[in-house]
Amino acid sequence: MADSSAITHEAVFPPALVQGKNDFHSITETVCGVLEAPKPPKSWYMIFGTAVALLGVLGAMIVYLIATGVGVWGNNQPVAWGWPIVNFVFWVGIGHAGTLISAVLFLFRQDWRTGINRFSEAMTIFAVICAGMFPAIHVGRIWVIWWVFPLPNQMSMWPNFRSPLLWDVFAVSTYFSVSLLFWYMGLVPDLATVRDRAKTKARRFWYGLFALGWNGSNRQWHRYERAYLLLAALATPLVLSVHSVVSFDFATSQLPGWHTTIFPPYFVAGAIFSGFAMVLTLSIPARKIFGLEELITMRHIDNMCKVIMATGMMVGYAYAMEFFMAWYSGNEYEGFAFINRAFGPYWWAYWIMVSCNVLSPQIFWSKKMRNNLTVVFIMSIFVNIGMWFERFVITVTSLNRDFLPSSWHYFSPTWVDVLTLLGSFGLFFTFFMLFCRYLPQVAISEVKNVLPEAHPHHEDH
Amino acid sequence: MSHDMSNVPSSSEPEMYGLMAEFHDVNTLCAAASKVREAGYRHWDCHTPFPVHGLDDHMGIKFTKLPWIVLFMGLLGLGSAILMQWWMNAYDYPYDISGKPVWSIPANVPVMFELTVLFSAFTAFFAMWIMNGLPRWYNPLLRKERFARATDDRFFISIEAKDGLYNEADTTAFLQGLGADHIESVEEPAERTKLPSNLKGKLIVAACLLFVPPAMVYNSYGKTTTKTRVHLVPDMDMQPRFRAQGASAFFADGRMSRQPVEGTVAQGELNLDTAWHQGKDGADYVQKIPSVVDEAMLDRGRQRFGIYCAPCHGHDGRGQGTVHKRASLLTDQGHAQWVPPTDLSAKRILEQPAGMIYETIAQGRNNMPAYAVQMPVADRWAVVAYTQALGLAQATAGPSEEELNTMTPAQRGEILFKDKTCNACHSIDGSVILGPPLNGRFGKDASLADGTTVLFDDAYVIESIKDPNAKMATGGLPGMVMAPLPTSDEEIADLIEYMKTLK
Amino acid sequence: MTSHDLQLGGDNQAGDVAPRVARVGFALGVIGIAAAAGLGYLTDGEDGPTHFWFAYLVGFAFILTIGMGAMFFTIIQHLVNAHWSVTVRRLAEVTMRTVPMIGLLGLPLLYPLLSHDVTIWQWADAGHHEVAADHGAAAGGALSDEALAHKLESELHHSLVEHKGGFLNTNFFIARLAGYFLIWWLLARFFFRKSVEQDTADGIEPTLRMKKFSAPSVILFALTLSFAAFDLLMSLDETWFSTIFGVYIFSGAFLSSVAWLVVMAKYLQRKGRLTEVIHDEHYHDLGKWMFAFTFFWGYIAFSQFMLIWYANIPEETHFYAWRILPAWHGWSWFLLIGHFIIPFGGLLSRHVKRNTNVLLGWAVYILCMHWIDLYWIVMPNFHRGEVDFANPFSAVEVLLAIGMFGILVGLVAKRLGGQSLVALRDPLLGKSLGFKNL
Repeated sequence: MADSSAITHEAVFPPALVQGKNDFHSITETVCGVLEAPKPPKSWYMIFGTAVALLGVLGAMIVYLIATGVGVWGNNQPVAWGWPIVNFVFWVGIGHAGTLISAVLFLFRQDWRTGINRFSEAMTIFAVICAGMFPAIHVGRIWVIWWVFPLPNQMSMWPNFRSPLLWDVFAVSTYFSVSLLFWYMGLVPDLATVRDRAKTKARRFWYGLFALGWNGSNRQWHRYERAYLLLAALATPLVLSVHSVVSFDFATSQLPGWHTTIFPPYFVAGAIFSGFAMVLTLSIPARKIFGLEELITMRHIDNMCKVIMATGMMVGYAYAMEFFMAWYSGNEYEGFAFINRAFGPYWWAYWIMVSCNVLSPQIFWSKKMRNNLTVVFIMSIFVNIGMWFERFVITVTSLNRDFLPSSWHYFSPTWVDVLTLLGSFGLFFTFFMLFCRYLPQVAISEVKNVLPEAHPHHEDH
Repeated sequence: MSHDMSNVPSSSEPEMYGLMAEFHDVNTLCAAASKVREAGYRHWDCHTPFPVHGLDDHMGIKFTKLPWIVLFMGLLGLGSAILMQWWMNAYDYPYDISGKPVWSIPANVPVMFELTVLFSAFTAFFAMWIMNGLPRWYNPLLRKERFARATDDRFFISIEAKDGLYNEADTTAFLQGLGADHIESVEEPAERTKLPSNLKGKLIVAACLLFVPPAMVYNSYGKTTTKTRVHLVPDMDMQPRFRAQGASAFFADGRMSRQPVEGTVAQGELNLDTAWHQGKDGADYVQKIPSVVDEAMLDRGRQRFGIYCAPCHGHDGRGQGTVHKRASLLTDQGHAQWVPPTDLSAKRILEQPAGMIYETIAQGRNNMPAYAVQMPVADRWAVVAYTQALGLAQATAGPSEEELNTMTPAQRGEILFKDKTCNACHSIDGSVILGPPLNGRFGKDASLADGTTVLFDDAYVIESIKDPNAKMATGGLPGMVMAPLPTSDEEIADLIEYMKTLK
Repeated sequence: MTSHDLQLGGDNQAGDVAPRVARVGFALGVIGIAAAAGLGYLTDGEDGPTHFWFAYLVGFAFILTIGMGAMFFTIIQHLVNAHWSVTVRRLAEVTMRTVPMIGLLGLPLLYPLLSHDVTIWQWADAGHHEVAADHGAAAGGALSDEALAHKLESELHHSLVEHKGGFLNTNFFIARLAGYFLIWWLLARFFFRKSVEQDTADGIEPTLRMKKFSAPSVILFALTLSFAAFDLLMSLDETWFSTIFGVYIFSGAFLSSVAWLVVMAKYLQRKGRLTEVIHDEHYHDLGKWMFAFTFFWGYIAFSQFMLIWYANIPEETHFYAWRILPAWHGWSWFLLIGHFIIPFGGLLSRHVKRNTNVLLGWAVYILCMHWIDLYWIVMPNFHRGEVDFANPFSAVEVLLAIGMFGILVGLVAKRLGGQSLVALRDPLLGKSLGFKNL
């Protein structure tokens, strides 16, 4: 009984964000220890090796694609948007948690973000790189991809600003740039820490170069914190806008199942949902491999599970609203599109999506499940799968039932589609493993800030 | 410290940067910071491994102006986005996309938003570093071993030597009084690595050179040239095309053109309206053109007729076109056989239903080829309308020029006699209509109104037609005056020949 | 000041302020509504009664959304374990507790729902009106093109209404509304009672209970509010639909309730209450929420508009097409600029958010704009079908807005009297009193 009352008590007074007997120095040691170790753990080599191999597969697929043409993919009429856009939206969605954790939770004064924000910001950047790759290679002639930007060219033409696809170019590139700045800005004080601990000249030079000469000046901290707050305040609506714009790609059309007004917030919720799942997928092994359990605690994982449950519920709300409105609108095409989703040729994809995204996160109502790392890890992968299928369901089920029944066509991916998706994971994990090895995985200065002794007069309380 | 100097006899007294004092916790630091501020120091700073909240107040740091700069740049980004989208899509290169206005503000909002955020975020980031004086990779403090803990777990106050209140001994004592664990003086290094000479000048030259390629591009922008253009993307500029009726190895049937899918009809080609599309109502030809015939349609028909029909049928539709003339010439020389084109004013043509003429145009007849490929349906009907009008006009207009040329002058004169409406006043049977009858007059004397007589000969006829009142003849109703008619000399000659035949 | 010092002193009791304000509020309410009814029924011509009932719905939705926003505010604070808001949470709870009473104010709307004399929900009277239309068509004999188009349109309309009949019919409608208010009553009562119980409790058991039920409560809240928005407001235009509409109404509800909290807190502080409990930091945070939801409202409103504008499908566009007709054009622009651009610029600066008097001005402004928003949603349905879609704006709406708001003030003031103005023994109160914004 005493145990259960402690748990309920924790609901209001959560445990400390930094576990164990940590002080400022031990936090520095823990985080820097990972990148100062002469050799990474064995598991690092295994994952990195696999990732690089997959990256090679991706490279081969891209070369094959560009040398041959986009006909090597399964895309065709009427499913002109096949796996590439599914993968694009999937990766962009994953790329949302980083900025959400950094910016939105910062604005909400959720201190627990400090343990995982560096991690997820890095993840964001790598995920957006993976995402941006798909539209870039799908154009076929990748060497003229610069035509998507409003640059003067020999044809005296300008891009069409009324097209949601161009909004995407602006939204994703803005998001990438701002996320990169945000990430790098957070890294600077920590790079200075690594610089000041460096034992070799090369380390001192390279970390010193990127630390910009940071010396912890409080006059600089003042502007730094203000700029950080401003970037957070700017990045928050930016996160909303990016996935909203991605949703516009679909929703501005007149295709049943695509054109519905709830798409923007629904996509944003789904993006956060999948992003948090990916953070869990990455952080559960990482904290174990690199010994960060005292900084990325069970409380962090518990909170992320709750966010997943909440956003999963929002996604469920959107599914329900779409279905209700498909009937309520009295629009027979809309009605057909939704019946077709659930019971048409792609019924299996639909039910994978619903069970992974809406039903399975319900397990997190139980605190016991939220504290079981195996369960949480498996659930996070389920959510990743479910969210990939959500994009697949939206894209393919709506397109494959064209207004012209003679065009109806069952879409199947080619082996190139499949290997490109797998290869994109290689790209992601290669970057991620390099990050884990060479950059501080936890925001050292921010975690120090949540220790009680970081606040003047803390003894008074 | 002084013994250090003796080791470096060549250099003078090292320049002092200032003092640094080390503290081990935030409370002491905050209290010390307050004291330093109260003592009136200006060039000093605290160094902490993380932002210590509340320290700003202890140090008396004024709130940064950064938000205002960011706001300004954000608005600039918004303005740029509006201007850019207006200029590119509504002004410089306007084109229609799904019926949206070229200047569609709702569609421009996403990019406006993104650029606002982009400008603001870049400003927040870069302006923060600039205001902080970073990057600055060199700092005397960073040379101190103990100072490395400023990014780990210790807190420092540094006071610079350039501060007015700075005095090494007094300031050291002052800092000691604030509870510092350790105090150390910081020197400027004796020698600094020199920058390459004239770095600024070189950078400026390099920056200027960077502008050359865009300037060259700008200079050639929108100009014409006789030189072969550079093909940046050759496979888009010169791509293989499929031509109708061409051969292709790609498709199994070896043809470039694709047949429509079996059992399908392309949109707009169902052509259920047989009257319009085939000129037939059931099995029968439609009698009339199944649309409103107006001037515009006839005009179009005249134009198309001139292009497609006149080469054979002639501009007058009599079947005397240039092709026919040439063909006749060759036939005459025995080089070819030729079926002459139909005279469109022939009675059998005039009696044809409109639908049949349409069918002839569309499908051809005898050795006339089909024109369906060249002429869309509406044009065919326009030609039908023009053909009918032309035939009708020609049928009532008398002989063609060609025929006139083969006639005797007298025969031509007879036609002219009617054409020029001479027969309205002059009879040829001796009766009096208005003017004197003209039969049996030529070569004889004619009495004039003034009582004299004149010989009715070539000269008199010419004069009478050109100036009828010069010599008024009798024999008509009294008081009648003939109006002059514009008539050429050749026509007058023909009329004379005709008059000679009138007995 | 820490939580240990807080007592149930005069500072934290409404005392004699409450009954005085309640009297003024109720008086305003009765006078406002009665005067509006008088104007509507006696002087406003043939359409007067309908006009009155439309305006009544606007006023009703106005105070209901404020109450519902406060309910969300209360529940979400428990869900996320927020500490900053503890000092103002009681004000939100009191507002939330008035929702069941506001429900009673909705009972008169049964009259336009059931009576054929006054119609505001067209579907409820569909059969009744259809007969008259058929008569007109039959008498005309052969149909002109225009009449034919009109006939086809009305047939389509008829079939749509018939299609929705399983959902949009009076009995089910009344049952649903009763269900929503029942759920809201249970939620409001639970969170209010537990919170008051915590004031005198020794442990934190009531807080833990509230926390435990907060997650399922939010789900119930989201579903009921969305469907209530569909029923009360969206179905006024029975053929129109928008999946985001529930979120749209929610954004306005939350925004207006935060503004209302600022107004309440400022008023009570001017009367010498809560002076040591609510300080600049809390106003700063309330201001941030107003700013954030001004933006969120703009985001949702733009998403809905842009998608409908872009796809340009007639079955959806008529909602906006009506509202850009000359009579409503200015009002729509006013909404865009007044509900989004002006408060966005106005609330951007932290100085504004920390200057409580200026913030009070913005709060009042936002409440007015929220009413304008609801008016813009409801009133174009009044003269629809007529060529000019006249904007009926007159004293009737203003009187009803004042009257309804008066009733909200009265209900809240009456509730204020019973207990402490601050959640006394909330475990996070100490943190709330001590926090500072970055």
